[in-house]
Amino acid sequence: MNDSEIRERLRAAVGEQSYPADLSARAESRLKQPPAPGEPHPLALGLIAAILAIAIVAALFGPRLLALRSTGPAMPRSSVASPAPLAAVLPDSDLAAAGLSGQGNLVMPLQITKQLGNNQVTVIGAYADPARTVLFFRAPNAGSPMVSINDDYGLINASSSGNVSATGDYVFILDAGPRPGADGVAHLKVTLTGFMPRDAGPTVPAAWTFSFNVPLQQSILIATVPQRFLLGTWTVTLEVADATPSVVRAQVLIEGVSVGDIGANYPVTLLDAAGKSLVQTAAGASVTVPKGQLNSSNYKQTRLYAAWRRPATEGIYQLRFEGSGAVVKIPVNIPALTGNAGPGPLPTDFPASDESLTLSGSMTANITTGRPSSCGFGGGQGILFTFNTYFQVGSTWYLLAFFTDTSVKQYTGPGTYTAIGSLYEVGPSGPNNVLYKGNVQLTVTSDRRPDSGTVSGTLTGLEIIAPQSQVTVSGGWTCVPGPSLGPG
Amino acid sequence: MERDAAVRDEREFLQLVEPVLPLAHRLAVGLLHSPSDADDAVQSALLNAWRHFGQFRAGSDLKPWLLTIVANECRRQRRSPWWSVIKGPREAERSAESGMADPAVADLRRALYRLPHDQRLVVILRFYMDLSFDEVAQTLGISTKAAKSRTYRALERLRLSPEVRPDE
Repeated sequence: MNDSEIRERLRAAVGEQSYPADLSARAESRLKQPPAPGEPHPLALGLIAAILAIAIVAALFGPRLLALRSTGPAMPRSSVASPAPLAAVLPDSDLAAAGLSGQGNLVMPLQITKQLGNNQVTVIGAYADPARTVLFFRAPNAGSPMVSINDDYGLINASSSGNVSATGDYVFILDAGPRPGADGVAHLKVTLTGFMPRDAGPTVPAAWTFSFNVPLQQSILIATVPQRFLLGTWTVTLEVADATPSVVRAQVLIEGVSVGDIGANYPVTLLDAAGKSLVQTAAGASVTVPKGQLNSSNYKQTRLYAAWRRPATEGIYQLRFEGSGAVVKIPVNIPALTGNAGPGPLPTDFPASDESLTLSGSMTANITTGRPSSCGFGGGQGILFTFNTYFQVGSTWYLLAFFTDTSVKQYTGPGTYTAIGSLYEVGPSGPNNVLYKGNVQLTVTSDRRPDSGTVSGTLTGLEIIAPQSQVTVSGGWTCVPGPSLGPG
Repeated sequence: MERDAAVRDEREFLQLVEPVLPLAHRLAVGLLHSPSDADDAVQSALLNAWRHFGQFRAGSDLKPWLLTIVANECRRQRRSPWWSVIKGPREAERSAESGMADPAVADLRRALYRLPHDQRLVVILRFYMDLSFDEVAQTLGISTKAAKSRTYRALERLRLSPEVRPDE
């Protein structure tokens, strides 16, 4: 292959993009933003960037990193991108409706909002593993969203179902996982075509397409595959037997029976140690070739798929096959769910710091001691500064989180910024619900450790948690370095 | 090191680098495969370049210096967890423009973006930006022979076997 051919093929693969005429002007505007006073040495910047990068990973995957805590390095600073661990935005009832109770740390929080007619629809989370794709919608006045999902390779064609959680959120479950893209994550394109009314009534059409990436959770092999055995006159090949964080699934090829003959006598079940059948969440039977290629021999080959909600208890379970007058049981080892999702960091994992913050209004507190979990500036989609601290009122822990709003102004150094503030209630597994949220003025006096400043503003109660209520926050904050916040 | 006395402000700096910007943007597109991410990367790289302009030796070639900074910024972006987790909506552009219909093109794209950064960079510089091996070497800070060798290895991994061996 000569250079021209290589060039041509690579250009087709990368694609051609025109040079944006306004790039120079935009760059000039960005260059003219004032640099931070006392600009740190480049090496210091690199160190800060490294710490913040670690911190972002810690926030996104914190609970899993926590499992390494006993043997690994100290807990790093948490995220500047997301002021709370992943599970914070999703109520437990949403996770339960998705069959992901206790697995909230695997759900990626999203805030993609669209006004569709009279309905404001927000996608608040997404989860994907090889067997399932789950989307969490918040659409208080709409019905159930009608959704199709594509990945890099096209439509993910599978059965789907939906649940309405106790908080009214809608959980859409597709019984197939997306395929990872070249970078290892799934690139999803979701099309919402309408809503099915929850009461009687016609479908409400809508047209909304949005895209996002979602990390793909891993599955664990639970039996040797492929394995082949006889079931009466049938020959069965177990092709897939694994457990994802959400389901256990099996796929088998059966030679000797047609799809029609299978009928309602579905031959695969999953039994617990007591011999009790687990609840099946998905099942299907199909021919093994396109219908046009069916002939007298291959029409009696059937591929079966079945999935069951992942049991939380570790143990030896059994895949039970029954058909053609015979029964075969294959033991499978399903590990405990806690192996995938440990608890989140505790507030007391973070060092204590003197604070002089006051909350007034619907919630009152004088915060003299906090447990800052994150502070500092860093880049991602713009440069921002964040300060998060846990604090305790009585026996209850809360998390107060601020990050500067890059859509108003990027962080360029100490000064006063419009910031987004959120107040979370903290449960045993980490922050649960956002109680209050709003814009505040965050003044950064020092962005070198110990970071310090003041804050002033009013947070408004969110509709589901605390309607019509407000909390005013004011006072000074500090973020003192400690061993749990990593080197610095 | 002091900033070049001839460059007094951001505007003059931009005038100096402007001729290289289309090439810098093309490099970022090639490495990131997303126009909007490429925009971000070039702007961030320019900010870095401006902050560290004092390290640029007056009289030397600006192009490889700036391209190196852009390449580093692209590598930083791809390493960021936000690259894979947060920057989702921009993927819409990518899938819309990616021409997934041709499996061979899609395969090559996947293979290209699985290459280690250094190998992907050399391929983009040489075959997407049409730089000579001397220019590629200058940008990478390696010898011309090493640039040829690295290019050859990258093409082999892409299964685009070149006609000419690196030592020829």
